[in-house]
Amino acid sequence: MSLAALTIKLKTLSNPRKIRILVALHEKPLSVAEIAHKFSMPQSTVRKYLHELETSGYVVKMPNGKFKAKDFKIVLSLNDLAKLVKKEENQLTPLIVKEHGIEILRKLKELAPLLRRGELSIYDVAEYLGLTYFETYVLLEESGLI
Amino acid sequence: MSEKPVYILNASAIIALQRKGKLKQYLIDKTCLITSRVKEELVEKPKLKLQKIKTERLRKIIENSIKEIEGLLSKGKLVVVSIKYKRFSKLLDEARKTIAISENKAEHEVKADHTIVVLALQKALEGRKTILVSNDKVINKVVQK
Repeated sequence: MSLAALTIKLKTLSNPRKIRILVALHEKPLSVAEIAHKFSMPQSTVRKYLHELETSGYVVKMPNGKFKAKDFKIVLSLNDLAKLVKKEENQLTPLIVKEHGIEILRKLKELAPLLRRGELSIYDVAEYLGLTYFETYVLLEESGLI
Repeated sequence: MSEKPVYILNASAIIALQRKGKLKQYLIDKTCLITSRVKEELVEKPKLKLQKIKTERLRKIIENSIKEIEGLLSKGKLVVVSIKYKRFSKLLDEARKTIAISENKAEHEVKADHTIVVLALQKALEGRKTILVSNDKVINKVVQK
């Protein structure tokens, strides 16, 4: 998980009303209207909260339109944060994107299936993207493609 | 005493070790062989592109990568070995063909370093215990075949 994703995940839980909704959904699945009624909230606010909870992976929408909570556990030490920060500091993808443009990532996404199947060498990717071998390797490694 | 194995590194293995800050450490007790293609991709080509890179930090990182590899080359920890092209022409063709099939493209379109596979076979045929280190799926697939 990236530092940005972690902060969004934590921020989602920074509101007691969202936590109460989450706990209610842990007890039983509820629809937007049911949540709005239970907590005397406008449906628009409930929808906004549910969207945030769903994006952060805390709740899931069921086929019947109701929402249910997904079980989770957050264990976070300062050591974990230090590792995450260190990892982010070493990431070179933002520099490569800054240098060559965001288009590089779109092209890389197109090549991902071939790379995963081992049907494209790193040399091919370097030539296609017009990057050095070093930059190509870094992009592939940080994207989890090698 | 058993004979020391010959280590052959392709470009991906060098960068992978370098990224972890372990390239020098990996080479402490051994000398590794590379092909001229590896040197070309990791030293010569990026050197040409270096001046065009505007992002200073990225330029510095690539420059450091080049310098480290050049240093290891000058110390003899990395050695560029030539392929005996005449002797192994059939093998070279075969390696290129296998890669072409794997990548589903024409032989002339193959960009992967097939010479590294042939160098490994060349050393093995010389009776040396040979270890090819690669993090490129295409090369690894060809070696397995």
